[in-house]
Amino acid sequence: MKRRLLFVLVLLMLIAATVVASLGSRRGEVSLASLRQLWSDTIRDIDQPGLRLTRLSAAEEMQLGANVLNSVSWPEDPVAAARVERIAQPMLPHVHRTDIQYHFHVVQAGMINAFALPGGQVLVTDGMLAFVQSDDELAEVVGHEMSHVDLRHCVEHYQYQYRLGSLVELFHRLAAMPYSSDQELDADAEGMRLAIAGGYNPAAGPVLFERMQKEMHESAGSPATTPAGELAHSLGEALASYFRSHPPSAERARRLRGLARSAHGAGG
Amino acid sequence: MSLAVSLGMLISGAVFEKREKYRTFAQGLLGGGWAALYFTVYAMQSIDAARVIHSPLLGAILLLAVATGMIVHSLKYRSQTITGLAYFIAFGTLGITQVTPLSVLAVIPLSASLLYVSQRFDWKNFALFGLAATYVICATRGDNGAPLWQVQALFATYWLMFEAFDLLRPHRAMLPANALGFLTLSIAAWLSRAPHQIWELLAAVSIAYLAGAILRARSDLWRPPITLTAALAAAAIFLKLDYQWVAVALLIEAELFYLAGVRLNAPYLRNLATGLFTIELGHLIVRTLPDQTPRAWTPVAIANVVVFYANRAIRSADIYYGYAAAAMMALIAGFDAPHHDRGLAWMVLAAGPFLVGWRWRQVDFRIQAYCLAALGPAGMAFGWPEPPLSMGIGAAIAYAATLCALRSKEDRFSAGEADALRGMGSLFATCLAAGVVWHFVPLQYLGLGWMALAVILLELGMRGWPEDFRRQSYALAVLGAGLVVYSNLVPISNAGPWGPRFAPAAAALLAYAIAARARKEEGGRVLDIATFIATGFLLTGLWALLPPVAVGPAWAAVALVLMEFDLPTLTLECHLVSIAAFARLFFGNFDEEQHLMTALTVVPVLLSHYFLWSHTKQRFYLYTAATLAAVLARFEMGRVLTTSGWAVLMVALLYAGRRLRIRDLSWQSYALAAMAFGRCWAAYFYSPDMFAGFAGPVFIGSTVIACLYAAQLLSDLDGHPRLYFSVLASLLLAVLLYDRVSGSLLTVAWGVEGIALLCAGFPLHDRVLRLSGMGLLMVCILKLFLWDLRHLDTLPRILSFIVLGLILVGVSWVYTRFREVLLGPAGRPDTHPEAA
Repeated sequence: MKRRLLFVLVLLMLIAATVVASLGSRRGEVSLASLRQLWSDTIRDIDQPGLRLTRLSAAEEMQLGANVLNSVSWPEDPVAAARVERIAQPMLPHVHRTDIQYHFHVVQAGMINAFALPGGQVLVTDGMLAFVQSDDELAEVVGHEMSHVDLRHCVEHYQYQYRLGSLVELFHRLAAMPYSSDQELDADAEGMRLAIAGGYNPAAGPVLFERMQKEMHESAGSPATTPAGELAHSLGEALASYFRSHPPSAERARRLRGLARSAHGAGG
Repeated sequence: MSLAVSLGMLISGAVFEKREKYRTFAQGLLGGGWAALYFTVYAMQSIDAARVIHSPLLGAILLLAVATGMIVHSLKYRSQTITGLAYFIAFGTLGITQVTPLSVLAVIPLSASLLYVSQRFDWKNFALFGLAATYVICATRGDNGAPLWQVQALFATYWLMFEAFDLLRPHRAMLPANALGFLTLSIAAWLSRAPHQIWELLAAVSIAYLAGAILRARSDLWRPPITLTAALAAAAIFLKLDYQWVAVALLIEAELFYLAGVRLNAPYLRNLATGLFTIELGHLIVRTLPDQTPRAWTPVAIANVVVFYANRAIRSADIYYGYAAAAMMALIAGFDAPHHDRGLAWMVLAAGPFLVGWRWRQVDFRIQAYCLAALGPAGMAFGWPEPPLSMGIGAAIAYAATLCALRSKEDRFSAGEADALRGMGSLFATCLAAGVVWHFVPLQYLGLGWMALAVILLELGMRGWPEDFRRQSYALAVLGAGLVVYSNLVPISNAGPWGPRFAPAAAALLAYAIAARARKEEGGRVLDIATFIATGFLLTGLWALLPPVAVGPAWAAVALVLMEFDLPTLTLECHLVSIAAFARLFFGNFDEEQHLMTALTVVPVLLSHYFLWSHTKQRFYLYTAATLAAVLARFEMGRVLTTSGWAVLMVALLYAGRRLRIRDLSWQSYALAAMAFGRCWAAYFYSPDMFAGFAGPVFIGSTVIACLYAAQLLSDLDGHPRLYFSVLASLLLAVLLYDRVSGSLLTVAWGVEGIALLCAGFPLHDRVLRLSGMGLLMVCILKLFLWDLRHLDTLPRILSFIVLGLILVGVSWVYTRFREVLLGPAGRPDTHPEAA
């Protein structure tokens, strides 16, 4: 009798879940992103002991960053760099790694981009400066790049090369590919945290990425509607995401929107 | 002079013949005398140098006189050879003399005399010689241009003369030889004079021979003349009539012969009739049918059917007439029925012979019916697309035959026939019903239609109406299922119109219905196969009908229901579906944007796996459920915060494992502990997306560490798990302190941790805690001397030394003070709680 009751109870739960999910869910895309995420988590955890053992000091990292920066000659815009530095100033007190000295550069390149080098070297292109429509949006960009430094993402790409040689670094980069996108999402979140701490509007982040999605013509693609299509799409997407360094702008906007909402809730 | 010599030789011969001694010599004189006389008379009229007679008639009369003399003289010797030689000379005389009425008419008495001699002396072949000589003489004379009636009258006289002789003195070769000679000469004469009326000659001769046959009826010699009658009549018909009228006339002639054969009990006549029927049918089919429109030959063909069945009725032994009639019916239907109704026509026609054969137990009629019925589906196949009404009627007929075989008494059919009829009839009915469904149901849903039909057939089969339907329903269901796969599953979409998306679910219901109804059949294989197919359809249908996030729980519900039936096959399917539901969650649920929806759909599946484990005791359900819980925590709480969830889950699993004595749960808790530890250490408890600031890592770390210590306390004192959990917890606490406490106070913090572990180890009688604490203190001492002395500022360095020194003093005092308590009565520390 008790077993029968349990059966009915579990069955009703399953049916209720099915009904509620059918009524309340938007038609989401089917993918193997969850498995990719689990795999990425695992690789990332496994990677940590090696990274801890080969970690660079702050001084070594800053020297490395300066060397990398000097190895390439970029035409810079000191006036624009001053604006970037002004934007970054309110966020600097809130970084974790206070022993890193940040330097901000604006390089003249048509593309919309920004990137960071180890040791606090943050570079923003003039194309990005032209693309952002407010200081809040620029703060999101700069905060994102600072976060890469603060979370050691930048230096982790050079650690093995610095300590063990280029060949080891090559293998490490291949192994670390799955969580490259996760590092971007982490930097997005950390950058938003810095922006909020610096007094900027967190809502600018998702707006920026939504606009970037349109600018870069990133199409979401139509979802697969057949079983074989679902499987092929899922496998293809999982394979593509394995080698993708940045997640799609739509996903970044979605996650940032969620973070902004929770940050607003926590603040309010 | 020649006459004198001739006469002298004849007289001398006659004189010497009487003396035995000179008889041979005398016969030579007689033969030579007659020859010389014959030549002399011939020369008197025919050789210019010796001609003394100028009248051909007189010459001919003289020659015939000499010939007659020779014949008469020959009769004296009773020698067929000598008389034959004499007649040969006589006929030769007629042949060499000029053609005159006398020479023509002279053949008649000559032949008549020959026949008389033949009859008189019973010389059997002598008449035949005369017949040949007569017709050869006539033939060699050629056509003299006389009117047809005269010529034919002369030939008729010859024929009559020999025919009369044959009637009196029958001879095997006489009648055909007479017919050959007479017909050859007559036809030759008619060809030159009235070629279009030859049929009249043949008809007349046919009648004459009919008369001859009648006259010979009492003897055994009537067959040749009656055969000639039939042949000549048929020839006359062919020459006189055209197209279907030939068939009509031949049919009448043949039937007359058949009736005569039946009436007179003469198989020969019936065989002749058969031959004539064959010729008639051949003409009808080969000649008439291609040249005429079907309507022109149809009445004749129908007449054939009627005549043949009548013959079959008149004489039941002649069953081949029934087959011929059936074949004719098939031909009529084949040529006259509309293209699309041909198959039906054959099946309807089959009903007639079948009813006759069934009612009066006539196997040949039933065989005709089967043959016609077999043509039905073939006709329908070639006439495709057959009108549905035709196929429906055909199916009804086939089913009626099936029921007839099923319900009839055994003596209605021969051995095995009823079974065969039942099997074939039901098969035809099934095929035709499937064809009807094909017509009415759109191709996209044809598989469903056939499966529905299979359900109906299965029900009939299970009820024994007849049982053959049962296996046919399996085949039809497999076909339908295959079509459902091809038409509905392969192109299925979960975003298209609703109709096709419902098809797999409907197919699943039908397959389940088949499985339920036939669950005990074929040793349970039907149940196995049908439920496998049904479950596959159902899963696909649910996939097509539901949004992706709802598919997993729906499949899990299916698995749960399958398990409830408690059948081996369904239990196996339950396992497979559960695994599918488990895998499906990774495709559509964990990455769902709405986190609440993820939990709402995953938790019931998770619970269902625990329920399935409780019912089936399959251990893998414990692992799938735990995996779902761990993954759910990962996606609901984030990469790092999930460690708190894993830790809580770890404690819960460990507790349940110990409580329920399930080692798998304990193993899962070990794994979760390792995962939580590894993630915490790898991420240093920090996750950017938490926004919790300092409190975040502390919260995560304290939660995980607390759970690990709780797990330690739950574990046995002397077991490895306790050591495992304790070491993980203490290490993680040290890591948390390393991450959260600044470098100058780290040694102090670790020292405090060590003393705390020691303090906890005493009341808990836990040697692992105490050893951990002491180990940590040892690390602190090493750190103090190796690192702090060189890197720390003065004040923190002094503080570190003082605090660590105090801690070591305190620990030393405590160990000295409570040593006895720790060792216990047996001197063996902390093996059991009672040791305290």
